[in-house]
Amino acid sequence: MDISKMDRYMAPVSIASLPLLTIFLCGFGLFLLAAFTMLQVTSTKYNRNLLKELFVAATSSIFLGFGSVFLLLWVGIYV
Amino acid sequence: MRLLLAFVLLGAVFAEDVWKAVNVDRTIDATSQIVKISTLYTFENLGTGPQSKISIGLSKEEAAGLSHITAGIDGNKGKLKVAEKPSQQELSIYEVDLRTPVAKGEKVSIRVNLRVTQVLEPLPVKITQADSQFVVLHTSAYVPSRYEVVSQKTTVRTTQGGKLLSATTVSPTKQETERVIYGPYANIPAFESKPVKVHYENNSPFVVATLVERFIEVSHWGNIAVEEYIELIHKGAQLDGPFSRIDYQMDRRGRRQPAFQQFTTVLPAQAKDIYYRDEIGNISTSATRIRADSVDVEIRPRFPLFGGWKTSYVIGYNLPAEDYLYTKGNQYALKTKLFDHVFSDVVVEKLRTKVLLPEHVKRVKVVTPYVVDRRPDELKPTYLDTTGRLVIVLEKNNVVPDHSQFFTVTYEFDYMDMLREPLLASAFFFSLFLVIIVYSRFDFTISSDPAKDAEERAQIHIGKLSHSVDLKQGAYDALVNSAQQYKSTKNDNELQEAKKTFNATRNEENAKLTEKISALKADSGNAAAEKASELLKYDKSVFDAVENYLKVVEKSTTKSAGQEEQQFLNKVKEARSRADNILGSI
Repeated sequence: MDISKMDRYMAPVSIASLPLLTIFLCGFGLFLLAAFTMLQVTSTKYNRNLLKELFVAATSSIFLGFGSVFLLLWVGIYV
Repeated sequence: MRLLLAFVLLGAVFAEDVWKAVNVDRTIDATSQIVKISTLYTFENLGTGPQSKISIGLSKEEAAGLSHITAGIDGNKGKLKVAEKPSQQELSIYEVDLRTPVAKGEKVSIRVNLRVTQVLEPLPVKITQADSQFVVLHTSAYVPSRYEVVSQKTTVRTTQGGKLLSATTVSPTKQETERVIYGPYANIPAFESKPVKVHYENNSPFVVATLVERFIEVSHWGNIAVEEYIELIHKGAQLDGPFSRIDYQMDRRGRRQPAFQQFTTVLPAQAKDIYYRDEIGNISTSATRIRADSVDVEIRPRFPLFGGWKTSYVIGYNLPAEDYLYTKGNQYALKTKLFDHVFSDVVVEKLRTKVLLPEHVKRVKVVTPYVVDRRPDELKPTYLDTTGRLVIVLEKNNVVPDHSQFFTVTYEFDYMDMLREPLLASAFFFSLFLVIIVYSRFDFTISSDPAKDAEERAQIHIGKLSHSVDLKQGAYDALVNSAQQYKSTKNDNELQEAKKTFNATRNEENAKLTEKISALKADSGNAAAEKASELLKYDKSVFDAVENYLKVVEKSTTKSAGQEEQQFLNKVKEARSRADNILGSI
């Protein structure tokens, strides 16, 4: 394809908004991580709830995953 | 048949000799380490018809060191196609395609520019620190030509302010301070040559980059990282004897010493996060100047480079992707420099450009402005990669600044693949969570502790008890609310409905409570169970209070709550705190 018919490539996330995204996503991910920890230390073997734990773990890991990628981009490791 | 072949061959020979060089004006600029030859030819078509191809001759030395050749019609910016042909009688032949044929008897002026590297010979081969550098240029007084030349002139430009030791004379020859002029010569036949030597002072550093390795790493997150690894060696006259830093600093020639002291690398205007370092680490003797259309990095290596000395360093910077990356659908194109500025008049022996594309790209195509050697692709695993990124490797020998041109890499990339990296990181975190979830389900106690188990179970029962009490209390509150509404609406049906749901909830929760209390009895003994059963006992009194309250409400005609009503309401509220007390005491 001819390059003159192509558009300029725009990154999905602007570099200026990386710090905010990182802090928000990692912060919320860490909050959920704390919630998960609370869940782990307070529950006894009679009242464990697998679904609840999995739900908190999955949400937390999604936030932490995206947050840490943006953290890498923020510090200059362009993955 | 043989005769026919002979005729064809003869015809071919004659067909090529259809041009005559009417005038040739050649300038050899030998002021730097690159010999820049610019020749203006004026050809006349002597053939029988229009012609569009002209052969240009290059001497052996020129052809051996030839790095770059361009040809164009004089006064016209467009470039003509130049193709190498088999050599004839010691001359390398390059054929220029004129595009528009020249009619019989017409003239055409062509300017041919050559960049020839590593042909200037230092003489003497070794000099001391205080000496200047002298070099010898070997060339021919006659312009190498495939055709007869009617009139020609050659000008050799030597260093400004430098000494001219000797120059071979081929009459008429004129020696001036900064140039030697050979000619004009008349009617020189084709393939004629007259070797000449020009021995002159040339203090420009003969620094050659033996290797320039250029990495261009494309990230679709909006960045193009460029890094260059450069190995330099001074290939001029070798330094003989010791090196003294005091003499070096006190040298009155200053910048005109034949040593390589400092240079400027011109980077694109958008370059940021620039670094300049070597094996030891950052080299602090550098400065960046931001200009209108470039970023200049002034670099001073750790030591000046004298003849035979070498050094190596790394320079890198980031560029925004939107200026170099183009897209349409899942098609992407990267347009960037194949080779970029190192310093003016640099000679690169080997250029290796590596383009690191994102993972999972398909159908990669490379379009270069000149011929390069495409090496087998490589894979490089870096951050958050699974299989590794595709690396395109392009190589070219003998490169000069004129090769600093754009090239294009087109490829296909699925935009959804952008999600792969964050999801990979998420999967990593999730696996950590899974490990904890599984680990916490293992029982590592060596001896069982029934008392502790019972207590834990009792805790759960109490939790459930309090949940039931909460629900019941909620039911009471709901009933009281609807009773208060009844006071204003006087809607009997609604009140009856509310009573019904209240009764249902109360009975259900009471049944649950009885069940839980018996379970609690089994786990933590009679004492706790008796206390818990109080929850049921006092419930009756509350229930009575509510009943009475309802009766009063039904009778009352005023909208505000009477004294009696208030009493019952307080009783309901009191029940709440009593329940909490009982639960706390168990």
